[in-house]
Amino acid sequence: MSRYTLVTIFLLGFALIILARSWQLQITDYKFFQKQGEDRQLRIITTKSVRGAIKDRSGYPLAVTTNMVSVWMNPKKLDKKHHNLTRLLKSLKISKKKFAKMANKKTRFIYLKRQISPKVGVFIKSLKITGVHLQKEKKRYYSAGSLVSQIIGFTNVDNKGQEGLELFYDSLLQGKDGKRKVLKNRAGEIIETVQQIDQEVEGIDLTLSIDKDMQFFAYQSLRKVMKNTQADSASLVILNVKNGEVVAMASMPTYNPNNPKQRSSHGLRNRVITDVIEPGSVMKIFTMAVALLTKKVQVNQTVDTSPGYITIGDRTVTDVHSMGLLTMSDVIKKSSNVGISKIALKVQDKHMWRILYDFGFGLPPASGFPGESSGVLRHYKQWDNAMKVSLSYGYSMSASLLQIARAYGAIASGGVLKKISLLRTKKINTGKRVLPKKIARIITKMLTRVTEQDGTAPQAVIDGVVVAGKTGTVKKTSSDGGYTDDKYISLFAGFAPADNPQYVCAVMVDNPKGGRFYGGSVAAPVFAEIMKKALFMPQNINKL
Amino acid sequence: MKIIIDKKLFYISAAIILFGLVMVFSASASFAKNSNLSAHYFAQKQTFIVLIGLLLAYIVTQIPVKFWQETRVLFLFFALLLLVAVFIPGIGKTINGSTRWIYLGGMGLQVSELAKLLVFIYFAGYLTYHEKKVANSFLGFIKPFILIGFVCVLILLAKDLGTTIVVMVTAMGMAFMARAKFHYFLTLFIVNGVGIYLLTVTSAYRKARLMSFVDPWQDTYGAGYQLTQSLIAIGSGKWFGAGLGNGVQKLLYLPEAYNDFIFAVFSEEFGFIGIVLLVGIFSMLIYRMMQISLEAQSCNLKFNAYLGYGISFWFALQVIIHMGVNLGILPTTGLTLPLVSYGGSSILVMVTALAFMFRISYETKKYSVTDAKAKEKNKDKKIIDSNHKIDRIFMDYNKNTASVLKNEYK
Repeated sequence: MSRYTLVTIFLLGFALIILARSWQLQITDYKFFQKQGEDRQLRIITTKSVRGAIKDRSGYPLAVTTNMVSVWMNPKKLDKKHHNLTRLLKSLKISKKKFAKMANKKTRFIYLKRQISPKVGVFIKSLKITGVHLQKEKKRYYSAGSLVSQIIGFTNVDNKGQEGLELFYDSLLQGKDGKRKVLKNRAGEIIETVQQIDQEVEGIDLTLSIDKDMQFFAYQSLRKVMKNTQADSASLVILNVKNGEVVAMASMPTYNPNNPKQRSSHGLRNRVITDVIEPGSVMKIFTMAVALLTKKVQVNQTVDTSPGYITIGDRTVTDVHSMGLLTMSDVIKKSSNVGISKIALKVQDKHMWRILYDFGFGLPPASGFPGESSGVLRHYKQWDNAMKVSLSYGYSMSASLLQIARAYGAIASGGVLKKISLLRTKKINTGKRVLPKKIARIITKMLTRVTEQDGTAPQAVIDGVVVAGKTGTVKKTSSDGGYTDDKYISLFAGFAPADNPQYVCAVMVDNPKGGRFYGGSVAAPVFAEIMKKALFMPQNINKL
Repeated sequence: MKIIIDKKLFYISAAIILFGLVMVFSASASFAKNSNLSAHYFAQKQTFIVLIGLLLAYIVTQIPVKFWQETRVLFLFFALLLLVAVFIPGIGKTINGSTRWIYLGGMGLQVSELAKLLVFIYFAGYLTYHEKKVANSFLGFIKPFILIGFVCVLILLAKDLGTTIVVMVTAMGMAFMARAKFHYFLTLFIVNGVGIYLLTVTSAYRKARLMSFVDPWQDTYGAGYQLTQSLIAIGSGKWFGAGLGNGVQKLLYLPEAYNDFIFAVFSEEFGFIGIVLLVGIFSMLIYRMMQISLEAQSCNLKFNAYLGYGISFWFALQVIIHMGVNLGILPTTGLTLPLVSYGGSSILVMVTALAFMFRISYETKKYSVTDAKAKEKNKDKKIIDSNHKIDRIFMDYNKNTASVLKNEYK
């Protein structure tokens, strides 16, 4: 055999070896290599859904998600001598000392600053510092600031709802993150989507029933009363009588959700919903209503309130002064404790409990707000006469301002208790009848007299509009369980116009100082101010 | 001046080169983008170099092989000079830990690529002039290998074991074709084997490479990274591959994807069927080259034949080692796939080598033609001679008869 042939055979042998090995890799064992490859090349990534916006009833954005960038660094790869470092620190407002501390940490990932504006991000990128990286992030921005902060609440840095509606509707707003399998190159860049595992669902936009202008006015009024009376806190809520929507809901002090430092203050509480108080005299109308309903009293009947006090069991009920013989509507107008106590004594426990229960006391108002209080209303089987009397003028129970406003709304709408909604509704709110229309009318009539010149709340009057409402001046409970002598809560709840009620409003001022503490002189003016604004909103002019 | 080509070899190599450009583009696009270059940066550069190569090839085909035969020693010294120049700071350049490049006027030249060709030219000449000594005396056989060994040491110093092996084995192949005795090779194999063993054991770098070759999956993110990525690429190809351009491993996963590991990218995109075709076309290429050499040998154009064999073996070895490394049947060493891989010096020298083959093929044909003419001439001459003889016989005969007649008449 010639050497030429030998070499040819030798080379052909190699060709066969190459083919055999290729066969082994590609045909016999390909599964192993394919899996090894996919382990390295394919990644499952989540596509973040965009959190829905929260808007006011006219579509004005109150909470929106904006694009931000976060700056992080890898201290192990950081170029500590980079000539642009000082410019970086200046743009991020980080001190050199703090930065040095961060740069010496034994980690591969540390945030320098989270959620800065994209503009600054572009600048930082242009500095080209090794080891400093940018990361896209979403940030929640609250355009109305402290105006609606207690309602809306806020999200944390990871865009999870922490408070308020952001928390309650978190999953709706959040939507659903999508999942997809992608092919990445070694630099981590996505080359293509291989498989869509979960389609992302965008967050749903919430349209609130809140009117941002009314909300603004509500705050202005509260701020004013806080300043004038040096009160501890103040709240108010305005509901639309027709459909139970919350038009404005505010309490002071408040906080700015855009400033993380304020997010732990006591301003966080939406007092209208979460705080309960003894409602006091505003509750008298319900006692009156049940007495009329069960025909224990007649409208034109009178009750003798002299000598200005009455003792039931171990409890003595007193009026401010002896008022003598009072008509039914005078009992409300003058807010006689003795009068209403005497009426209450005529009513069966069962009936009295029932009406309070029907008007929503002792039950959560189901407003869709996290942490709402249901207040306390004991079952009538636990009552005695003293308790019943106490309840007749709003003590020995508790309720939130929202519950009070809602119950007054039921009177305003002719005896129908409407569902509360913080979201704008298009459905007709049929509600639940809790009182015959006739009696609701009588109560409304009585309430209009409260705002007369000789009533308890002449300051609740609005020019050209008949206002129905009731004051409350509640002694605050002291820490030892009794009542204080010098600390009051001023209340006013009412609606207008009396003949065709549009809005119902409840105002509470906690511990006003400077001598004035009656509901009629502290809370009623606030009511008048804000109710006027509500009634004279452009869209309501022709309804008057 | 006319264009000198060997048609068969031309078609085969043109197909490989054109397809190589496509492969370089496919394999390098992501890497180019990652370095903020345009996606066809490498493919464009390669195309440009191929065009320069064609010009160079044209020149080489115009020069008689005899010229190289006579100037071979001069060129060998030139090669040695270049190999040494690599280590002169300012001229030489180190890339990826290997000092293989010299930079002159902005152009980088990988010296070992050129050295290969020059060494084979030198050795072909030696074999031509000392044919009998090489075949029959061990001393005559080993002498040139000492010189080649020196060249190899210089290439080794530049950390290029792959090229060293190619040079050594090719030279042995050439000597084999010069009918050196079998046991000479045995001795040389042992010497080389011990040499490579020592080289491997003494260098941590080579040792790690060897270990990672034995079991690449042990350290897939360290020493075994490149090989495992290559195996993943090839294995993922299955029967028909992912299709041109659809490979994944070239997305920055496989280092040197458009160069020392272009076969892996090819295999991922064209599958087993593709490999069969590729091995087929390279077999055709090398077979044609060997055929050309054999024809030269049968015409007794010894230098042409030995040089032809040298180039054939060199191409064959580089194809085998490149594919073997990619497939994980040989330890990892950086060698280009001839006419396909990206690399200016490599493609330039390979195209020039092809030009040598064209010239050799051409000279064989020319020789055969002149030989035939000469034979034809000889034939004519013989006929004329024989006629003369007959004439002379006749003349002699006539003379004789004349004299006989003369005498009789006397």
